[in-house]
Amino acid sequence: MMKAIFSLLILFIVTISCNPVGEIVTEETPLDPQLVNTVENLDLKKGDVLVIWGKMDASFLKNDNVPIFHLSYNLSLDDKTIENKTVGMFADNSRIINSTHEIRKEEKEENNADILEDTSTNEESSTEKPEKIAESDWTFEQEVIQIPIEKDGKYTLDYKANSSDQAADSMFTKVSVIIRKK
Amino acid sequence: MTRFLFLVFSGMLFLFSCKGNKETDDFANSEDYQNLLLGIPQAQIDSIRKSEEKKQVLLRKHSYELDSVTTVDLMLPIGNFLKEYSFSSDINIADPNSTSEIDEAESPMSVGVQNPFSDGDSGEVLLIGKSSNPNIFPVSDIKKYNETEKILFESKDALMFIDGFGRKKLYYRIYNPTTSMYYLYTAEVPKYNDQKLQYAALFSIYKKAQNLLAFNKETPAENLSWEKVKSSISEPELKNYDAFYKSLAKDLKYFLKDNDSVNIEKGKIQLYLYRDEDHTKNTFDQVTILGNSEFTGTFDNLDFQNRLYRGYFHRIYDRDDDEFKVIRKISDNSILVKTTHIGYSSDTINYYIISSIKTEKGQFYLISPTNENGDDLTSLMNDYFSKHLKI
Repeated sequence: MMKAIFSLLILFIVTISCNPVGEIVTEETPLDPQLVNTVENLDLKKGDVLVIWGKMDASFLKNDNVPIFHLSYNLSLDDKTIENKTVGMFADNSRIINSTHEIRKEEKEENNADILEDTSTNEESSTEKPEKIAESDWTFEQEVIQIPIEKDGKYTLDYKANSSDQAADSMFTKVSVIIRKK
Repeated sequence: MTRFLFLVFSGMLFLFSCKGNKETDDFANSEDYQNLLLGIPQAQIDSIRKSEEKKQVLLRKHSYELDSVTTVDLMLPIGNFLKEYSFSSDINIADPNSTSEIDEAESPMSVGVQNPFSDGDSGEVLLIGKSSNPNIFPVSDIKKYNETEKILFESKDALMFIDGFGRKKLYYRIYNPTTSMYYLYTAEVPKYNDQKLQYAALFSIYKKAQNLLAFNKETPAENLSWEKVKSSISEPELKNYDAFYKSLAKDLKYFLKDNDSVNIEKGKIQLYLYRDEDHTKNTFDQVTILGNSEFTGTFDNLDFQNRLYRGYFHRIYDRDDDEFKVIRKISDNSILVKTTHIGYSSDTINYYIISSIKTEKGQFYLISPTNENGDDLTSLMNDYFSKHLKI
């Protein structure tokens, strides 16, 4: 009996470690476009792959157009830069996980109805329909970059990200960074 | 904080599940519940209090126009300032269930007291009014009209307490018999995740309130340095400054290339750092050159090699009309300059500190708005940063 439980436990652990996404190193950290974020004491072994993930949490997206960000990062070991790059974030639709997407169709109509009721001449004005924009709420995580590790050590990762897209400043767009390792 | 609330919540659950009033009272007075409210051990609170108390205060005088006839002088720590505020404070000074408590003639005006990181306007509010009653708004009333779940400190004129939501609050009153003015300092500490920071903020505000009218303690502007000021600044404020300059150092070291710039703008603080590719290649330092000149003229009159306009000032000023003047050298690394924006009806004058940072990563310039003497907190910190940065 004990043995059975034990092997179940082992199986469980193996299953978890087979997780293709990898284990979380730092929980999601909201992005501050003005400041550099620092993760210190990243204990990494040769063969590990450090993966930077971006998380988008956006409401009222127009036609699913997510603002593109640029992430600059510097990975250093003993104060020596191992890798320093700038990469795109949310630029395409690949390697997305934990996605929940919802179209805000009904609310949009409700809003219109509200406005129309306010302008007492509701029957006439209903003819002028604006061009169709599908509004949606979309939350997802997307892999930004994989950094293979070639040497054991305690690493420091510094990163910052910003966007030139105006939509990125919207209070309905929340971006965070998650660091994983596999 | 969430954890604290959770604890309080579970404490409450436990409390409600008790049978009979006697047991409930027992629990409310029990050591466990009191500790729950405090969040951290009393001994730790005492040591935070001592460390904030020990800090030397560096005060500057501020004048504030309460109304057309009354101007008051107030002493505030360096980096703090007054801001117009017209709502009531988070602390009830009169019975919240009655509207006719305060005599119209004696009712106070409110002024916000802020530091560069104040979030919102209501954190620290000073109520000022006139009354012939020296005992107006006594501490005993404050205890009656506010939910004081746990009293941290109480004296004739001061009250520090934790309310039912775990918020730490302060009340401090001063009455000046010669002017018949009363000053009520009311504050609610920001909800930092760290309880220790909350207590540090509370005790530092208490000290601020005690020194509100300490006109004999004004700190002379000369010989101020960041080293001196640093030891007077409260822990939460220091933490914020530290985060900004650490970020600037990382940016400088790893991310700013060519003519890149970074702008940190939070609350009252603005730090603009940029790299100059041309000056890096030609080892040209416009701060040294300007510091030794007595330049005054339009931005257009600046030497062609000088790229301050392109680097920063183009964001705000007109090249042909607006004026730029070097006031003085602050140190070998920094200069104080004055800018004048020529407007239609009146001109706008601003002051900036420009610091030069020469490193193996290139030639950088750090720019921040400052006061006419170039001796505010940002100035002291920028100058220190530009001198001591090690990358």
